[in-house]
Amino acid sequence: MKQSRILLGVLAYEFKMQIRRSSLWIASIGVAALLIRSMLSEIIHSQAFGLANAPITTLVAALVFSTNLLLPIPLGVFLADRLPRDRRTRVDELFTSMPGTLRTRIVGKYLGSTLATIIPMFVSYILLIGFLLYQTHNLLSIPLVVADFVLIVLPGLLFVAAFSIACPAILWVPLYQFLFVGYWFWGNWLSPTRTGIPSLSQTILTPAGTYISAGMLGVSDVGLVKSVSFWEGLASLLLLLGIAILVLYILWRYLSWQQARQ
Amino acid sequence: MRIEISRLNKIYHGGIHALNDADLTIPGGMFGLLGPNGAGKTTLMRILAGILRPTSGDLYVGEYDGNTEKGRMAIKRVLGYLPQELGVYPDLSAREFLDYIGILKGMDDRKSRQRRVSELLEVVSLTNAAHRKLKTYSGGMKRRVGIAQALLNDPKLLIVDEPTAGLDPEERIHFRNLLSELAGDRTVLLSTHIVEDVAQTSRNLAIMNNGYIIFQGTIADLTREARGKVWMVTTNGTKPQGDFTVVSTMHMGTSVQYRLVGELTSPNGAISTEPSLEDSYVWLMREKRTPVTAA
Repeated sequence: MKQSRILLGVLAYEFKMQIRRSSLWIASIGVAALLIRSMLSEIIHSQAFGLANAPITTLVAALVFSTNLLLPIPLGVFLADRLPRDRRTRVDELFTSMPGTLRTRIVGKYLGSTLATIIPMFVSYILLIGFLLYQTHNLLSIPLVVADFVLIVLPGLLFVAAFSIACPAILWVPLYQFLFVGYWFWGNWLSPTRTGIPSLSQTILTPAGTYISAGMLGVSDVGLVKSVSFWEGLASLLLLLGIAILVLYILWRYLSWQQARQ
Repeated sequence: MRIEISRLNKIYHGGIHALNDADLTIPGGMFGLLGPNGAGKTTLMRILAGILRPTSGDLYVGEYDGNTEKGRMAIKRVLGYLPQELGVYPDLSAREFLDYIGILKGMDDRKSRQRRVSELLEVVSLTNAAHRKLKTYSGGMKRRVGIAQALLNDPKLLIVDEPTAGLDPEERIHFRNLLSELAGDRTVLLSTHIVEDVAQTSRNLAIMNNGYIIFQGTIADLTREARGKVWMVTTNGTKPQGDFTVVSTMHMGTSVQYRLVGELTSPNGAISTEPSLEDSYVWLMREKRTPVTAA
């Protein structure tokens, strides 16, 4: 009996259950529409980010980065109830009596529900591609948006998703969702240099991809006070992924410990 | 599949003793586990299903040692478990839910898994409702989904915890018959506080109270122990006085007939009668506070 097969099955069903949530689609598309309407046109036509005459690669990276400042919020919010739902519906007792291990179920839940939650976001990025094509008439923007999505957006999403799956193991879901939204604005939007308030934004741990877009894709001004090297961008990417794995590992150990002490 | 339990203890946080030195041998076939609420039955079931770890003691299911991780995993592979409160994902249909359970049970082959799901939906008479979301199901329908999920992997050991609670009489009978049929070539452990369910299905049983196994043997052994302790008394309405338990009261027009369990000090007019399993259970719960084993 291979746990990898069980993992694929859990992934598929977690994906199916999450993707069917209409509220997820409404929230993601709503946020995307809001972004496109309020931000992007301004970015392209203004001198913001120094992009008026920027090459298409930088322009796309800047746009993807900009959308990434808001779009992950629905992701964090809609993933938060996945683990407590198993307790609430009492399926966890039943599942524990089966050969699929807790580790397999956690990883399957994480991957399946995260992937499903990313889909509406990705659809939003398709809207973004349409918008870009309309503005730039440059077909190169299509593969660039996809590549930048993987490079800038995905590491931060995986990072956020790990916390959103894990933290509700010890936190009340609405409280976590509230704290997460607060964290997102504090850790990505709040500039410590301008406000004097300490923040994770403009650091290597910014999940919105500040360091990655500046260091690896050459978006020259994303509010950072210093220039970022390629290696610092890469380090940010790897750190976000590494922390996501660590959080899932801690979750597994915590739930195993809880099970053993029952 | 034979289950051997010896000196099994479970102490929950806060020092609550749910199981006290439980010794139990469960042979193949249908086995009833009776006891009042809070007796420790569910704790024992959960330990057998690998959900809880015992505080101390030994547990073997066939050749598998339930105290090791490897043994627990081996037991889970041959186990079908229906918990007291079945959890389901309300937004999945019965077919999807059963397919998911099949995956978690390690049924790799998609086609054979789906075939098995269809078979079991037929067995529990849910084929026509198989595509409906589980949140639209009644309690009885959910119990049927529960038994279907427990049977998916054709388990050698089937543990069912209070399976008939909340079912209407017809469904209960259907369920009991189904369990009896299943017991033909496997071990079925039926935990319940409904005496009738055990009386109608099991030859062997154990009775638990306050974390102790206070009886194990056959139904015949138990009723033999209660012989001479069950009485029928008919009065004009005056309730008999004494140290006994009234099992039933039946109004017969001008008189009232009482069925009593206990020692009658002056059995004038009382007729000794053959104990049923329920009478024997009541007598045991009254009289026995220490474990006994049928000879």
